[in-house]
Amino acid sequence: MKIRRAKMDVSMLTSVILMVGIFVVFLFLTGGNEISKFSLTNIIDSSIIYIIAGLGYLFVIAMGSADLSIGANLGISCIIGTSLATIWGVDWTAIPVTLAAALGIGLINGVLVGRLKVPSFMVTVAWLLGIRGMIIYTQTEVFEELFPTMYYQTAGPLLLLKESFVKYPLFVALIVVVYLVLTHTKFGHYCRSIGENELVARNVGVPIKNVKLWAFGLSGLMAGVAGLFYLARNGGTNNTIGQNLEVDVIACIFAGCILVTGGYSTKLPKLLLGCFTFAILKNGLGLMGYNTAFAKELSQGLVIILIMFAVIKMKDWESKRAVTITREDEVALTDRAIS
Amino acid sequence: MAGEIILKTEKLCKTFGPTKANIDVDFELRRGEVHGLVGENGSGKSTLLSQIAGIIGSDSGRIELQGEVYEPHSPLDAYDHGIGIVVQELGVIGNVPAGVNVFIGRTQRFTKFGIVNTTKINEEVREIAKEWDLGDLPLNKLAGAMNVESRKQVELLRALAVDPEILILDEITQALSYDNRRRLYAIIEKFKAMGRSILMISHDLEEIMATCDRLTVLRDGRVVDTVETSAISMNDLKRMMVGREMEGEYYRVDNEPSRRESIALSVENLSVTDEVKDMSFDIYDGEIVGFCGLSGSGIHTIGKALYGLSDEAKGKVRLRKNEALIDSSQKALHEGMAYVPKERDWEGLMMQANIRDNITLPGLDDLKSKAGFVWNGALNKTANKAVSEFSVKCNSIAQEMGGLSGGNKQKVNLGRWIAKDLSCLVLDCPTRGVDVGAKAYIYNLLKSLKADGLGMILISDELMEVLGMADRIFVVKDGEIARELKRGDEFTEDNIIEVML
Repeated sequence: MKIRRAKMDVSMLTSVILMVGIFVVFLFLTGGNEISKFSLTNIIDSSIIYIIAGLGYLFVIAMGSADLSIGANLGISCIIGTSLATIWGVDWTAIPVTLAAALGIGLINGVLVGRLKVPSFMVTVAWLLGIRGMIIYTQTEVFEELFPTMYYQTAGPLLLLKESFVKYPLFVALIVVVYLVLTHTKFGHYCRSIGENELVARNVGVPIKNVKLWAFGLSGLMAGVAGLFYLARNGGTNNTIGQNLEVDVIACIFAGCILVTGGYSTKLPKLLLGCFTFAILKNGLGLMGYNTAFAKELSQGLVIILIMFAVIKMKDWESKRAVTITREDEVALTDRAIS
Repeated sequence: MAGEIILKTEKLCKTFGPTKANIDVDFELRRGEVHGLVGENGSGKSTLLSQIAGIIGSDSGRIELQGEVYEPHSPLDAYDHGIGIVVQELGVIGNVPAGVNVFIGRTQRFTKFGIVNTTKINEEVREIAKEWDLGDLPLNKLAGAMNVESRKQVELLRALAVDPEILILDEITQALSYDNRRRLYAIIEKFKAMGRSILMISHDLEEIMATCDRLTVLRDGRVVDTVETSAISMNDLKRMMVGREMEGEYYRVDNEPSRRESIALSVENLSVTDEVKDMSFDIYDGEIVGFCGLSGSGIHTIGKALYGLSDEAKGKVRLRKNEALIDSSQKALHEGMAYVPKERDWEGLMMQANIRDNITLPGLDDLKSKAGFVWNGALNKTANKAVSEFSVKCNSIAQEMGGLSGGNKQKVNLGRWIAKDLSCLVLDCPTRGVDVGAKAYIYNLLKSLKADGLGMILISDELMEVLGMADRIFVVKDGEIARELKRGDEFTEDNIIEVML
């Protein structure tokens, strides 16, 4: 006989309450308009790029690391992919080249963080700043004049990503695959064990270097996938491509109450909840007429502060009602073990 | 005046939620005595010390210090009353140098215009260390960068810096190696000779019996009895602690070395910087090989290096089953080796993760389905099986690891490996900080693993444990095997100590 009492995931509950709360607030503020303009496809369309990039980021955050390079990575790999496709004159080659470039940048991050033990924050911030400069250079008129053949207009199979019958199934498939890999494979377990305690993972025999390599690789690869969706929607590259993607993804991760320290509490549904919270927020602000970048960023900041307090309060509450073994339980269990 | 009562508690109670940690505890500490508190994990020893030390309050009852009511509201308050404390809860502050840690909270004396004079602090700390013969410590080093042993020494210095009338020591020897234990015992002797009192907790009953004058036994938060050490036998003491007869012997009863013909692990010319020097030895199947040595001898480094955890290791560690060369912990795991590290709470287990994930982490390879997925069903099954097999006391496998007692944590730490098909097991202080019941359990487990033909390496700071369990002992000095002893007449504490020092 075994007593089984599943522990409720308080952080998941917090993020649900938060999402519902924000939804209700906007429902009142917009006089019911929020609900009429509100649909799942609407939310997905407005946040598909963050969600896909966030899926890859989950592996990195599960290890308690950071990958701030995803926005820049998305930008540069799209530029590399589309430029080569233009030069070669074969539209579909943009897809594999973009993905390969994104994966490559992710793997380089993985080598720097895993083998050379550079803090992930530093490595990826360096990419963020360095690559952003390159993106702006390649997207200026000077550059276009020098290399006119590299001017690209989204065409061919990439445009299929705009079609609902490709977009949504692919989106769902990506979520399912990442969910399986993160929760139900050895690799996913290893990622999360590193976030819990890297030293313990190492002492058990988890191949830290390889796990880090591939976690950052996946983060990069998913930024590349997100990039393909970006190309399909925007029709090509521009000098703000991928800008602030990492900020948006991290905001969604916070809103989903995923701990930055990583570990076993890193769960994919929390990311989706966080993304939905922000989508509702943006949708509501738009309906109320606050459509400027300023309003958006201010509200994001406020929401994150709100989340912080919510998480702290919920943690307090959790520790008060935590199921600890009482002396009586222990005696009872001992008796059972003896008999 | 020796014998006079210096501290007493009357009907002290403390509850944590539904848990009654202390129930009507009456306790007396005399001047000039070493008084031991013994009991299983969760019996309320640490709670009592924490109440006296001002770390936690009491729900009812009172404490008297030298005949006056004493209600400390913080450890600093306790210091002011002449009570020096070394307890698990306090620890050191990692980002502060060791020297400053000694006077933490009491630096006013060294402060001028808001600036703390660390040179002066360090001078004074050195003087205290010299007075009590505590050896040299790197006082400018951040306490967080020191190993557990040095940190405990810093805590001990902090307690002694108060010039206390009463010294409280909670599980301090567990963290100390042999030579520093000797130093501690000398301090205890000196303290006693000065007519001051010591109140200590230890799971090492041999130590308690040897050191203390009187013992107070606690069980389930109540005082069972207070007895003179000289008037009680070890078995009676165990019975009082557990509340029932402890069966049979703790350690092995046979007095002959035994092993199988086949070699489990060969080590050739193993070196790790200057900590381990050119070591070669073989471990046979069904054999327990003990490693003993002082703090700087490198015995713990050997354990790490064998499991492929040391980047600086040179030489060959080979598992003979598949002739596999162990050059990384990944390889060691894959080849069926197991390593139980010394610091269970931060090297061995993920304290915030649940029991299930802790148990299954080393065995994920075996739990994979054909398609390569690890399903929760398989994880739950394995974890539930291990929990019941090793009688880990917990509500469910979804419980957080940190909520378990020391003994149960160690059962998880060890038990998760046993489920696997092992080829060699490396244990570093496997009974550190666990109570008698769990200790007996672990020793029995080692005995049955030995009978099953598993080769084991037992690294330990407790000589009795190694003498009780091993077939051979390597006494290590300055990174070299100074002497090899075989189970039998050679197996005496004196033989080890003679070589070790």
